[in-house]
Amino acid sequence: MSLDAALRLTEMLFGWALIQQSLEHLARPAPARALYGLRLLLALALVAGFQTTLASWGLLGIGVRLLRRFDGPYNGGSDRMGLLILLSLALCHVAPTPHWQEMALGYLGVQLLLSYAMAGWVKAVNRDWWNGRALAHVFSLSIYPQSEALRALASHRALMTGAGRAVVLFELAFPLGLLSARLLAVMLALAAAFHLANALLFGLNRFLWIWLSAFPALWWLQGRLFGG
Amino acid sequence: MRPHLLPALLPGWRFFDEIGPSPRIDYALLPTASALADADWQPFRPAPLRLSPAALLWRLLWNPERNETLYVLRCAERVLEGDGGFPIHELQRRIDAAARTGLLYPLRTAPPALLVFRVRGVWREDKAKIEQVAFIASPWVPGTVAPG
Repeated sequence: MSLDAALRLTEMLFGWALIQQSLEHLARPAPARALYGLRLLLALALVAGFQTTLASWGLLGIGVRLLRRFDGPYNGGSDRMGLLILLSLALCHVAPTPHWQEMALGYLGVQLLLSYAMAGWVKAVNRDWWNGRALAHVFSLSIYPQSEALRALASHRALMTGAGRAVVLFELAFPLGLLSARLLAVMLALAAAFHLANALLFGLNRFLWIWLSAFPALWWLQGRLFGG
Repeated sequence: MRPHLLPALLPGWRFFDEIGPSPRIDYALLPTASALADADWQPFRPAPLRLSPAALLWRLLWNPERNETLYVLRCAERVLEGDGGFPIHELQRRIDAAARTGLLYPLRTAPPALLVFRVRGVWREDKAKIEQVAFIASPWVPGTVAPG
């Protein structure tokens, strides 16, 4: 995949993710409605490929303004990844040479890789992720299950142990995807399934769309570094 | 703003690295401030008991209430972590806004004199479930908190 194609695909996927988020905010009696309205317009421009430099810098400014309004990210990791994507897109558009464009998009690819590797590492050194207690806690007591009925899954000890180990191993193994395009395709498919499960079970729908929109950067980076 | 901007641009990606107390938010309607000791606490924005597969699928595309609930619970988590500033004001704003839109009591009835909320931490030690109230707000007259 060429740099231009990766950049354009990222803009389209990320623009869609921001449209979805903005509409959700505008449907609620939430504060900062004017900012979300403006964000919706700029996200539409990003998807359409219209004034993308202005749109990405404008969206970055709104993202920073929203950080201040909510005293941090509104939705934790998905907002953080969203800001990283915006920063990469914005820098790509003003980079003086293709080399610096590559550096900006490459930074996003590296951060995507780290988002799995780091999350896997901090779980791997916690024995509760190997014996099922951590995932059982997530289901039984944490704020995440979308419905009370889903909490019953915590009592399936073998399921919690198996799923917990699978998550740790997948996250730790994710960087191996850099070695070949075929392996990366498998890793990205597993990652998409992982985010889909998180969205269905825990209601983290924004993570799903935001993380998917960062995939083209890593796909491009793999080809750039290892030639596919 | 800087303390929040830097982690956003250089994230640590430490998802679920430790198992800490999980936050719960309760509210109560009070006739007087002295009734706080006997308050009838109700969960604020509880999760639905059950969701159909179709509802779960639809929520992939449209889940505004859930995302707002996650934000409110993150504020409560910050209260558990000892942050006594912004998250407390934000929780009060959100709960007051819920009262104004009829989510806490019917708007046709006479409003309660006072509204109050608390934040609890819930965790497990061995097999026992432990709950501890970490914060109780000062009661206020519903509808008097300026929206943010």
